[in-house]
Amino acid sequence: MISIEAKNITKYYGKLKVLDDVCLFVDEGESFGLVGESGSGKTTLARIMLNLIKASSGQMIYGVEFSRKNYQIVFQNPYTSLNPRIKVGDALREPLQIHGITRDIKEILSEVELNENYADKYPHELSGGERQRLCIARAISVKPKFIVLDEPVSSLDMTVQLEILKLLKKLKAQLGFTFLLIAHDLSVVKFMCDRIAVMNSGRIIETGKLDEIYNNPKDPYTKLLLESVPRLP
Amino acid sequence: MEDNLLDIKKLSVHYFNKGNITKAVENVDLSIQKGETVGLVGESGCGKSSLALAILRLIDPPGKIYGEIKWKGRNLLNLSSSEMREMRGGDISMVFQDPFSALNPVFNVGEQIAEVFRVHQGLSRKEAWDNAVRLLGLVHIADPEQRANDYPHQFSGGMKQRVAVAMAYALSPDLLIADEPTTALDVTMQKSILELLKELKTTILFISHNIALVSELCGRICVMQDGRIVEEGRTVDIINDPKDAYTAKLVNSFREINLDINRS
Amino acid sequence: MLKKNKLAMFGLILLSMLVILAAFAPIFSPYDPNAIMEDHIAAPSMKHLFGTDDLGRDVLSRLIFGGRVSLSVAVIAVAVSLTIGVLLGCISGYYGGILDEIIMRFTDIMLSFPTIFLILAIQSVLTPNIFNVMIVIGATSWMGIARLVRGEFLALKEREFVEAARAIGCSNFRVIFRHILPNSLPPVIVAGTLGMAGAILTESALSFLGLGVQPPMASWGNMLMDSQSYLLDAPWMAIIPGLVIVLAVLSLYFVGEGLREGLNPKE
Repeated sequence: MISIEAKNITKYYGKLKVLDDVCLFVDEGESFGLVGESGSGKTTLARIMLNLIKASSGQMIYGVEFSRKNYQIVFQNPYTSLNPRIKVGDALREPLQIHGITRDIKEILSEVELNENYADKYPHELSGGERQRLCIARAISVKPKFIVLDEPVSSLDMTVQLEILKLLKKLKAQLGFTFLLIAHDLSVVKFMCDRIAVMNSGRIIETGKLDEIYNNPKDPYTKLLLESVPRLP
Repeated sequence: MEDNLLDIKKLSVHYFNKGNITKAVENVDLSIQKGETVGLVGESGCGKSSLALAILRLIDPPGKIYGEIKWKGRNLLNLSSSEMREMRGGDISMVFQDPFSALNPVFNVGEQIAEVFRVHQGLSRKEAWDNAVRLLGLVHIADPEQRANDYPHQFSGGMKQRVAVAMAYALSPDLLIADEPTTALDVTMQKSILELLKELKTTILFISHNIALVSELCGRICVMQDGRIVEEGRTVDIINDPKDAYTAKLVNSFREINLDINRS
Repeated sequence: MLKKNKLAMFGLILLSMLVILAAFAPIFSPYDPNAIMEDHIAAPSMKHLFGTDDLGRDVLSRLIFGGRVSLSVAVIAVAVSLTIGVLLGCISGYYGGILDEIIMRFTDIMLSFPTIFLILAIQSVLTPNIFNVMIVIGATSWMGIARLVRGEFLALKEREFVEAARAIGCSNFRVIFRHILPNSLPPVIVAGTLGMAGAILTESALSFLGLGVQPPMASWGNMLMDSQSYLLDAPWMAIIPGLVIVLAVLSLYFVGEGLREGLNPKE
């Protein structure tokens, strides 16, 4: 069953074509990766998928009723995606209030491995990794069916990246949501996803199972991406 | 051993703020020999950028530098401001993380590189310009005579960084410090900048939080944590047999995410 | 927060003193401000600390009660201008489009009017009293605030935490009032303190011209009006209210500066 599908999505910013007839779908329960570099259109696509901006043409199909409760997003930069004047606890209460859900803040904090006394802190008192945990908590608190993870670890140090990725895997196993992970780092995508799509200049270049694409990339751009991944000797 | 280009002893950088002291760098010893490519690895806040800025004496108050930075035998901390100014760009130069801030948006790229020659070597406008074009070619910018007339906003992030490398390399410095030059760039551009640095004929100090990038480029690695160097050694030793717990953590975090990606 | 800035502290102390004196005027005032006493135009003495005016009223008492008037005019006028300015600025900045165009053109028109003449014109048509002084000053000084708030909104609405708020389901109302507005307040608060200083000056000018607070109610401005004919005989009648106006305005400026510095580093 489809969780979300983009059908022939095209987006123009003035004369600039940012997305060109993009088609992709994510099945329920999948861990889907969208790989692309800056300018590939992946961020615009994510926002169109979540109805945060409108496409110029094409349509979105949703597996369950589209609502901000069912379809959530975690942004790339934990430093800018949190309101600096709102305490952690209040930031977590907000989505619950909006959707009429009653839940214990302590329970939500512990799901993302944060101590309950974080509820009274301000975002600037938290480290990058802790802030991202908060953003993740905010997204999962309403028990969404589908989450877009927009480069969730790109702004973080490598050791922290691993912790956050492991947390996301754990949460998916516990809560059973479908996710679309956007990343420019192929190794992150490999760690998290089963099926992927590669994007370049507003187009989907290749789609398929992760192992197939990594072992047998068809498109030269995909090959270039694979070759560019830094490796330990 | 005696061939040390740079010999840093007991270097500390402290910032004073309303009675609080932040010890960004604490008692660091570091030496670099001529021709080496040395990597400095550490996560955010470890002090690696402060260390780089200290070498070029670019730490402004409320920061203070303590210790000894010996360059070819002379302590840089004892030089006068004008002597130090001559060193910057000429003997030691730096490429910064953010290609946007290194380049002035109102001057074209050729002008900015040419200025380095006019200021340091007193070359004429024509000579300086010719050199600028030559350097753009060196960093593999296609069609350098034409591109030299373009402005920074007409270049992509990766190309801007190439221009920044060209500016830093212009006077053939003896030491090039690259402070996270690829962090703001995409993966494919990262690789090409790394390739570019490999081509340059100079001693390089490469700073990054990504241990894999550092190990691809450098023969020797220093690991920094909380202002101190916790481990140092040949790349192959550090990667395969890290002695310090933090180094091991860095290496293992990378390995874990990068389980057998097959080379195509 | 304000401790950093000595001037701001000084301003705050001075301002607090003026406010307390004004708030508890009956307690601090030595005499009834309208009581006519035997000594006309008496120089400052132990009995009358700041002397008496041409009608034999104690200057100090009038100053204290006058402070009540001038300060409350300032506060209410600024409250009016902030309400209008913030509301229009929010809507203009957040929604953009035609709404923004209309509001901004209206603001431009208001700004092109020489406000002081507008106020004078209005006041000469209406019966001048303390209430319409407050409203009129407020209704003609909101434009700067509107522009300021609009600018803040234009910048803030692109920030990622605003997008995040929309993504979790916040309504426009919630986004505007809970997320963007609190983050746009620091410059608005500073503008508010400067606005109060301006309101004090405008009220003083109006009352000086006879178009503001009417006698016998005392205000710093109309005390200046009364003192005009007696500048040589009783200079204290002019100097002292004038000095107090300057002090009040200065203290507001200092506090405003301190707030501008202090309210920023929260990020």
